[in-house]
Amino acid sequence: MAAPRAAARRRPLDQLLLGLAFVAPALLLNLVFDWYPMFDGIYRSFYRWDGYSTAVWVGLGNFERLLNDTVFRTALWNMAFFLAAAIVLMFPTIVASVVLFRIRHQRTQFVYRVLFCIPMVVPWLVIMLMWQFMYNPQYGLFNRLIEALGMPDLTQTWLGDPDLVKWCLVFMGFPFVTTNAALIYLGGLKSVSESVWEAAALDGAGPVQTFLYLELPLIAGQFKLNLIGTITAAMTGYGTQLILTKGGPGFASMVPGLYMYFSAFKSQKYGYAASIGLTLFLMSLVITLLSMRFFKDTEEA
Amino acid sequence: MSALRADLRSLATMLLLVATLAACGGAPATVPDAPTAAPEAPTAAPTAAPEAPAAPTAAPEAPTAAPEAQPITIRIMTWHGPDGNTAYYEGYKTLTDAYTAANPNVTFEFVYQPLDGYKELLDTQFVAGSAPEIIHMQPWMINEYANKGVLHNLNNAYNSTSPYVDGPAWIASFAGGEDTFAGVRSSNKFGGIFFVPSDSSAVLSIGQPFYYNKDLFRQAGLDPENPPQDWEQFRAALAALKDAGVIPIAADNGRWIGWSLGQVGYQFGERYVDQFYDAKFTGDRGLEFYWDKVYLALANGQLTDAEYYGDMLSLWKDYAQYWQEGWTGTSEADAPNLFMTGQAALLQSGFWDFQSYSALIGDKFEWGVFPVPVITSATSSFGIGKYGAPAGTQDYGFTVNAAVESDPALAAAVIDFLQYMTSLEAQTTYVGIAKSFSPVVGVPIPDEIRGFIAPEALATAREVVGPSFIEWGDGAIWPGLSQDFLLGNIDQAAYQAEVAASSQEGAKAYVESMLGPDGFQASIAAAQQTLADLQAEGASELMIASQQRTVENLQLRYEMMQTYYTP
Repeated sequence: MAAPRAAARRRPLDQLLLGLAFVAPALLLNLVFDWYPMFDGIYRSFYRWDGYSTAVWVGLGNFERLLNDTVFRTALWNMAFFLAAAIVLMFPTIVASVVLFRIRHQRTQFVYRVLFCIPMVVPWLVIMLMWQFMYNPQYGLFNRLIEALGMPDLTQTWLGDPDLVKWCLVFMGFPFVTTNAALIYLGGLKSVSESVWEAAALDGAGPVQTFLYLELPLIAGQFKLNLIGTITAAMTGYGTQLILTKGGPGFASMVPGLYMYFSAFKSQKYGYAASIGLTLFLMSLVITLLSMRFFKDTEEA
Repeated sequence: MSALRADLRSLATMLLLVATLAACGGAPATVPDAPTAAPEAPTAAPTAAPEAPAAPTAAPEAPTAAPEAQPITIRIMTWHGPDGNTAYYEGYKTLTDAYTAANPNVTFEFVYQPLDGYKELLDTQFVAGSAPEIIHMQPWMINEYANKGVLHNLNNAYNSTSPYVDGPAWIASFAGGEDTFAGVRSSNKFGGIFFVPSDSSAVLSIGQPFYYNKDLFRQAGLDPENPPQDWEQFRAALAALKDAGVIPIAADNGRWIGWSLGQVGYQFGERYVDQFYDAKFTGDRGLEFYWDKVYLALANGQLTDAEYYGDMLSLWKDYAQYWQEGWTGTSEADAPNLFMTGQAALLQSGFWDFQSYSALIGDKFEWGVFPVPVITSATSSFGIGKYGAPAGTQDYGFTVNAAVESDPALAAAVIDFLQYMTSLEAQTTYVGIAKSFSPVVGVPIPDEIRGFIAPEALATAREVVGPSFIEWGDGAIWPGLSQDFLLGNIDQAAYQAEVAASSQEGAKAYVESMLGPDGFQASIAAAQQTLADLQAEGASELMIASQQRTVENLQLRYEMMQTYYTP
């Protein structure tokens, strides 16, 4: 019995080594392509660096400058607007998922699920350019439609209007149903035991009550997951602004991410750009933690 | 344990596979030129130094020697791709094919990236040490990358003979000769020449004119055969077009901001900075010090408020009322559509778009081109009333990656190809295909683009300072600030103060870096070393004389900066 016992003692170590060896490629790539650039970015944020020459240590200089940077401040306000809009606009996806879940007819549900998923395969860039075309004041769909309805005075310059531009960018998500998020919610609802719905039906819960007291609380976990994604995307994203408005008119749609990109590639201020990136990272971390804390408190209450 | 070993062996294989896949990813799109072309240039620059600017080195090439027979792949990066809109790519391709036919060991790959994202790709390639050997660059890119030390100094190659040109030096084959490179020498800290001109001419004033719709001109009661020549006529024409319900000018939220500023701004402030400097830095030799003069004036706060700014800025703002509504939401790609679909009467662009616009417009409407109208004293007492002088304005073309210096055979092949490309024969073939201008003496001008040459009598302005205090500012900020100014969201005084502060800060950083140990002192030492090497090698008198001029010029520039900079 001694030999098998020795083998049994060795086995966990062997398995540990084997396990480590299997995760090594992923870990290595993760370290090189995710963690190294992140720490390098943090390091660079304390330097003045043009991307080529020797970097000059400036301590907290970049962050001090950021505090007094009016463009950055405008960008933060714009980001707050986009963040608030993104959180509010998470709800249509929840409602759509619940409606889809309630369709009992399997074939119909399948058809709707497919319809949900189709937009996912259209690249976001194509969708953006399509919206840009629709917003065009001279030949775009919206102004043409308004004119066709006999209200030419109501035509707008859309993306060219500093007061409208942010709303235009938010409206681009219409009808505000995100496929990935919808599938996550749907998965969550499907994992709930059938008996819960049956019990609710027996208790005489109506559709609104079922939604508020059962479906919504039951997908709270999925909501948290999607919320983190939404916060991160809204705080650090800038692709739409880069393609459609370049942050304009003026700085009306400038967001911190785009300002970071411009600071690096248009101003050659890589250190400053890194400090914007680090600030954004910290802000999105804090807001995510606060929202998680809020959920935890709500659950405990 | 043997099972574990087997597992580890398969894991090692997997790791190798992953590493191989990772290495394959992320390369920029290339257009393989020859079927035998290797996917990665075998001699590609492993030593590109992203850090400390490299000193200009003696050219390692032997320009007159035929490239050795080892297989060489030269990658050429350009924004002119095989997309069918222009024939530039076809023109370059014809030349590379002909070169490969004569030198079968040399093949070419084109790296195509539209101007949008061009610099971003280039930046990452330089940092990664994978930038192509030959890189097409715009003027500002050349200055920037040359100062960063990542481009090969072509000074010695230019002053050597070329197997494709009769005469003592390659440089003499360019129209206007060595004098036309004076300006570009002063734009970098090495006093060197870092590019081979392309698609341009230093002896012609090739403007970036307006394409105009003659049918819409008629509709607005204007004579389409007599387009406006000065700004007053221009403004009247724009007003007439607007009154007729036509969009006068198609504008966009990208390059147009700089272009429109340039149309108005570079008609003010000829030799404006000369007042701050001693006579030896002005006059006929002034162009050699032009960039330093402007940097110094910006750094010293002397360009914060010039007397012509008021007129210049109010004229620019007035001009904006004739751009389509919502122009700040129109992209560069969308603006030409307004012209092509007959909604806008004018669109500014260069001769490079001539072929694609001809094809797109077809017979939808009658069109022509006219130069940007001049601002005379009738509009502003500060208006120059003429165009920038053509002489001394070699400004853009193909640069060579400094990394080729580590491979003499590759460097020799690159230089030899560039010399072939700028031979009379190759250029004549090229302009015939691309319908472009040539920087080389004796190359004919295609008839189709003669209309793009500005009137000779008006093309005499030199060292125009114009709106440098705006354009030399922070690129992340000035375009947005300019939009706010043009839209009336901020007043002129605030706009002027903000852009001036931004450009002053950038200029101070530049001047201080040039006065630091890595600046002129290092450049002068390196240039002197090159001179000593040339003398020791028994190089030609021409090369030695040219290098002596470089050293003297650098010393003078250093002296000027030391004398005039007030921290």
